Amino acid sequence: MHRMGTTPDRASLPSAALLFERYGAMVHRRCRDILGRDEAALDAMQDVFLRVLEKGHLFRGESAPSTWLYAMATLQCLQRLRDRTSHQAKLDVLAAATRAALGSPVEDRLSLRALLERQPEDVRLIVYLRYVDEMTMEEVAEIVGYSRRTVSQRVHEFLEAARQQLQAEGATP
Amino acid sequence: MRATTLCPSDFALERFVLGELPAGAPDVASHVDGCEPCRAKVAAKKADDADFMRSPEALAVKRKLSPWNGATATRPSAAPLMRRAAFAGFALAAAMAVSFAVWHRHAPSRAPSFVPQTDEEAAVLRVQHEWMEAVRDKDAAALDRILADDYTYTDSGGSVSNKADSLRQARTGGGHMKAFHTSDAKARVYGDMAIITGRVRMEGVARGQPYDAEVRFTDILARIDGQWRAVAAHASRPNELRAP
Repeated sequence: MHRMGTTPDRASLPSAALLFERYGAMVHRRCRDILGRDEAALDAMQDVFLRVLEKGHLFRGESAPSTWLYAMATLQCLQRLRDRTSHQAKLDVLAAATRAALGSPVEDRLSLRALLERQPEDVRLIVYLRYVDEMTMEEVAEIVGYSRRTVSQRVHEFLEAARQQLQAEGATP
Repeated sequence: MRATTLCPSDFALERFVLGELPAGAPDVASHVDGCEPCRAKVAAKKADDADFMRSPEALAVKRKLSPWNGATATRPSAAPLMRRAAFAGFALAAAMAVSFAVWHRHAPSRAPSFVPQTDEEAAVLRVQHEWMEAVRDKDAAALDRILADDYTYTDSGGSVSNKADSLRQARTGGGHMKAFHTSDAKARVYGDMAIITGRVRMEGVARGQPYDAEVRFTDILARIDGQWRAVAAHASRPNELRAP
């Protein structure tokens, strides 16, 4: 577009300022929901938009900017839960969600922490989105940028590993 | 659109509030209408949107991210700064002049921009700037004055449009270009013909989605009855911005 004035020539990421104008509040809410504390949420939100400044050129237009930012905010916040207490709390939440998915009592979740600890970051993100956020498989696939089939496979493999872990410990789900 | 009985995820509600639910997504609107907790969540998000964007924290981030605050390689040219200052009166003009002098002294070095050598070159660049302003402001009257009756525009995809298309776009087009920044503009005048080349970066909203696009352009103006008017334009995407 040039003089016709309405449609850009390609899917490109708008400037960080324009994205903040439209999506700033959404990203802040997401960070606040995961991190809980306002100050930490503001810090994480700023980091998300500063990353847009640095890495915006990597945006390929395969998902909407809102999806991209929601994913970046989620990952940024989960990575920030690094200190021991926060990390354990995150694992507790993930373990409880996994037990709920397997139909097991939440009290037996401790044995799942080690399993979750061993999972790669993308699997932990998928489990969080699917069982803590209760997203549909389609939504998870859209956010992590995998096909629905790949997401289902990762979820299935993870739940299977969790089931075996619990069976080995005698807490059959 | 299929209705959803289960409560939508937070992500779906966020996209519902933004008006960006993808085509074929479950009917969140009907669900929210009939679900008190979801209705409350949507109302809370909308209230939070307004509150947050007015907060000092959000304003500070906005300043930090502003493209005119060093967040991108481009800065406003002196001309718009001084023009705005003139509108705001002498005191502000003086303050802006001092601010500009300070900014200019500390501005990072960059390739020298084109300085028009003749009054003719300055005149065609002025018309070109007014043209972009008319597109931004959807000013059909100004476009009617600037575009010659046989004006043609070829976009980077090879589509050709004419003056009537441009006027229709200004009067009824749904998109909105909010800002533009022209750089590397060079004008050459050959008698009653002039050629302007340069690049322009535009930000705005199209089909409900924000965009940020940059093109290189070649504009051809002709002096018709003593007035510089646009007779043709062509836009191409710079190589480095092409999608891989």
